[in-house]
Amino acid sequence: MQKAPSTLLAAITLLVLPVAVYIALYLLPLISIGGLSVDNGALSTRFPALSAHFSDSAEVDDPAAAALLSDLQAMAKKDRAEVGRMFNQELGGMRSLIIDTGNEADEIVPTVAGLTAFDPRWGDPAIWDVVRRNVEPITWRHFQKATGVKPGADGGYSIAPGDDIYLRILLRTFVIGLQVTLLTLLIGYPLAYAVATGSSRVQAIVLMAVLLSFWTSILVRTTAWVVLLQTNGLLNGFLIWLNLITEPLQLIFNRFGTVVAMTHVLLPFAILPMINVMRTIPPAQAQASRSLGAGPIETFLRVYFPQSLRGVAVGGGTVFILALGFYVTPALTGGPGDQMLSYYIADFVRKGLNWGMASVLSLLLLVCVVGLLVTGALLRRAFGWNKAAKPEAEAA
Amino acid sequence: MASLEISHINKFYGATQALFDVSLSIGKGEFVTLLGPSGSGKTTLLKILAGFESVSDGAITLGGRNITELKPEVRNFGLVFQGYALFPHMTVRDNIAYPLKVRRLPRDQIETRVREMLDLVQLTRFIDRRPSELSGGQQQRVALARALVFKPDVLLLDEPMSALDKKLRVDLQEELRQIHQTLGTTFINVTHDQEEAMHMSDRIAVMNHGRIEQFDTAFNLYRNPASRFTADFIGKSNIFAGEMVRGASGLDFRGDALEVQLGLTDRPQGRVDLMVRPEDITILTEAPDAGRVALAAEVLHSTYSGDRALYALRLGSGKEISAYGAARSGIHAAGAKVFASFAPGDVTLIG
Amino acid sequence: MSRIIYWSSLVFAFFFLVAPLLIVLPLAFNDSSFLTYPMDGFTFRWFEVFFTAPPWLASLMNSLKVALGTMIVALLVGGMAAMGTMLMGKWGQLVLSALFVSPIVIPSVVLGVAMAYAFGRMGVGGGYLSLVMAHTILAAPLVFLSVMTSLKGLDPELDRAAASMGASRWYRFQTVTLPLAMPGFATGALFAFITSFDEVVVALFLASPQSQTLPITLFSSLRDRLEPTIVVVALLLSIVSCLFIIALNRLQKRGETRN
Repeated sequence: MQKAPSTLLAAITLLVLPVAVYIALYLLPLISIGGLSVDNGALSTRFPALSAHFSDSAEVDDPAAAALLSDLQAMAKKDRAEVGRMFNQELGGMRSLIIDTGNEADEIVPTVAGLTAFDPRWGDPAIWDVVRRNVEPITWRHFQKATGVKPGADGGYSIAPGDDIYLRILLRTFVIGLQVTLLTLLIGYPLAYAVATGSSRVQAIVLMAVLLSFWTSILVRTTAWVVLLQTNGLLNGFLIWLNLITEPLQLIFNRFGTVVAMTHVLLPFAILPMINVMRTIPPAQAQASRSLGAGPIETFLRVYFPQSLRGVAVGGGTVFILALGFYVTPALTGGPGDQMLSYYIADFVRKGLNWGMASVLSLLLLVCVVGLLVTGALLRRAFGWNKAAKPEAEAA
Repeated sequence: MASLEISHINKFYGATQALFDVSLSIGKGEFVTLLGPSGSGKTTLLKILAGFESVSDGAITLGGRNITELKPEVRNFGLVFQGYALFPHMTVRDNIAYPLKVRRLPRDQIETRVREMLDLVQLTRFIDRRPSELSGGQQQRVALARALVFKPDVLLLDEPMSALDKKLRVDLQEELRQIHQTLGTTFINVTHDQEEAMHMSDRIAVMNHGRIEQFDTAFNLYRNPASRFTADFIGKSNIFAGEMVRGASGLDFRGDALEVQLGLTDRPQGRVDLMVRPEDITILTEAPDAGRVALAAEVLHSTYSGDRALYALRLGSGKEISAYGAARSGIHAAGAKVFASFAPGDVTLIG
Repeated sequence: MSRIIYWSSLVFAFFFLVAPLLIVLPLAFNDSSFLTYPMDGFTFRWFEVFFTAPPWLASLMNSLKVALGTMIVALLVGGMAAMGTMLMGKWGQLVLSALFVSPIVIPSVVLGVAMAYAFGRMGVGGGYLSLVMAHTILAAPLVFLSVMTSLKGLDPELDRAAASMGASRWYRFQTVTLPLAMPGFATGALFAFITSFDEVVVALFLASPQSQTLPITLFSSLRDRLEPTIVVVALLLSIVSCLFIIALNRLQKRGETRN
């Protein structure tokens, strides 16, 4: 039926509040991350004159030197130290150069020659490069630090060895995500199969367990693993009691603990989509295959398993995407070498209030997640799997 | 006389046309059925009458008032849905009271009217049940009561029996017929079941491919179909294609290896179809007297249904026809040579 | 042979799924302050600690306040969003649904950073209000989805039936659509409550020491040192989840008998 104008009016009336709430509390904060990642407000506002000069010309000339000196003069001592520290992150020695120049700013002749006379380093174009880049209102400093990619003097880009720390962490995040995904699929498949094909008693029991696990908070389930895996914890105690080991094993604060706990926590997210798909496979097909002479294993491999792959793909994709953003479980069960990208994002905020780095890494994570979602959607379309399984709806 | 006039309605869905110049004139208190196979446009026409679909052009008037553009909620037409569409969260009472509450009737009047309607459909003791606690037939009657309680000008029924089994269907047809007589409301029923249509309706509009083929009483549709489609669709029929030719005492039929002396004077020459109903054919073992048409035939097979048997016969020309035969003293075996005989007065000419 | 493979893998997987909680949670009643078996005896004393020690009790109260607030606001936001979206055309529905559901796929850490910064700039950082605001964004998609599902599941004939009996659009909405979508709203409210009550990551970014929720207190004491009270908290949170599932089941059953 056609939508009457009154319907549209009602729709808009209903949508005003939710859309406003989403914009204010969700979209604007997300957008602010984008701004923060390139925001150089801390530095550029401290160099108003120099910033204005460089927005007109890139020349390092006498007016530039005068602007630099007047900006440094206007700054409080504490600010100069802060600015120096930030410049120093890019080029060693700049901290002392800024502080010294600032302290003596009154005495220095406001020309390039005057500056070079005060400290010959001011004659070095590399120093001025750093200054120019950092007094602009936007900066790629955080992106460079996150990716390790640095612009070279020749206009090209390079990654210095050792500077790719966050790329390594991203790689680690993907590796842990893959390990966890594989394990959840391996362990989840028989459970999903039981819910889809078992006797009604088995179905009810397993489904109840899956749903209970799904709705029990991640933190509670992680807590259980912390208690189980600690050095003098339940699992070590049990193994010693069995005389399998004599000394407690290190089961927690390492990769083993992280992967095991994350597998457990994410298991229901793999199982529920698989159940959804397996329930659509008619049991008569297996019976038909048996009556046609195929044994149970052959029937499973040739008739059932290929049809259940769609659920495996959806479940695996869900787990992998969720795993990429995990924070709580690795933070409580992993060691320093097992922390994922989320941990460093949280760390930048909690330890140093370094919003720039936190934002850049957040964007990195967000791009990975959204990229995977889009890839998943494209793959689904390519395979004609448009009936997306919804774990939430199923659980409801 | 508040009659319902449907004049020259066309309905397009994009480029496809669902209704072609449909016109019907329905008298007040009449029980009319729209009958046709699926895709014939009968449901589209009903939705247009109910106001859920607009017309592309044409008009509907009720008692002279143009109601073509009225919204469903101001038409005052009752509607019984195919799946009943009872409100699952309301009791039987609240379901039936709903249109009265919409009309802001006083509470005691609502209760009286609801009980009257429940009396009429014999469901008084289920007044506090929920629809899910009723059988299909009971739900159907609640839907009927709900659609009638606000005294609509017209009651529209959208395949009301299609979800019920055959026995229940026959009972409800009788009940519906009685309710119609008691209330005197105009009923317009949609169905693809010709038996249902013929049992209940004063007149039947046979629809095919978006057109009205014929709008007439059940008797006339059966005995005097206006088109080959109607002849085929209503009941079983044997149709011979041929033409009218001049004979001894007027025009006679000839065609399809068949000659029938009719001696008609009131129709033109030319192409025509001749229809004989299977029950008008007698199966004989010997050639009959003159005056009756007799065709030599061979029995192909028979379907015995107790009171009679339906035979498939192959005529000498190779054409197959069907005929009912008495089956009290035995059934003609397949392969038996017989004569299919009928009186010239029992045939109908179409076209 | 195939049965052996099936049953052994099923038993192992089932054990992995349920054993951790089943083994650990009884330790809440262990008389020893070590979290090990065999239990030294049965005691409620760790529960006493929980209900008398200020940080635990206060954070429980904070959690309840935040979860209830979130439930109300998310119900309003998500419910109105779903109803408004239902009234739009096909493309409007697609775009709006994508917007309203999208917070589900954003990693919580990213949302946490974004909100901590933006709410701080708005001047609402740190308190009860900022937690409710943040959790509303996490919970509204679930309300939206469950209300949407129940609205889409409605038989369109019911609305037509009501129209044929003379009911106006608004009257139909009040008497037919809304009552039938009620289970969707109730389910959504439950989702919203439990989402907020269990949420830890975003809360870590936003909560001030005065507005710490129970999951935050649990998280920080897990990093600090293991004590039996932690298991008590885990047990209590699990009980809340169980109650939640029972309520959800009830709602589902009621929905089934109606339709």
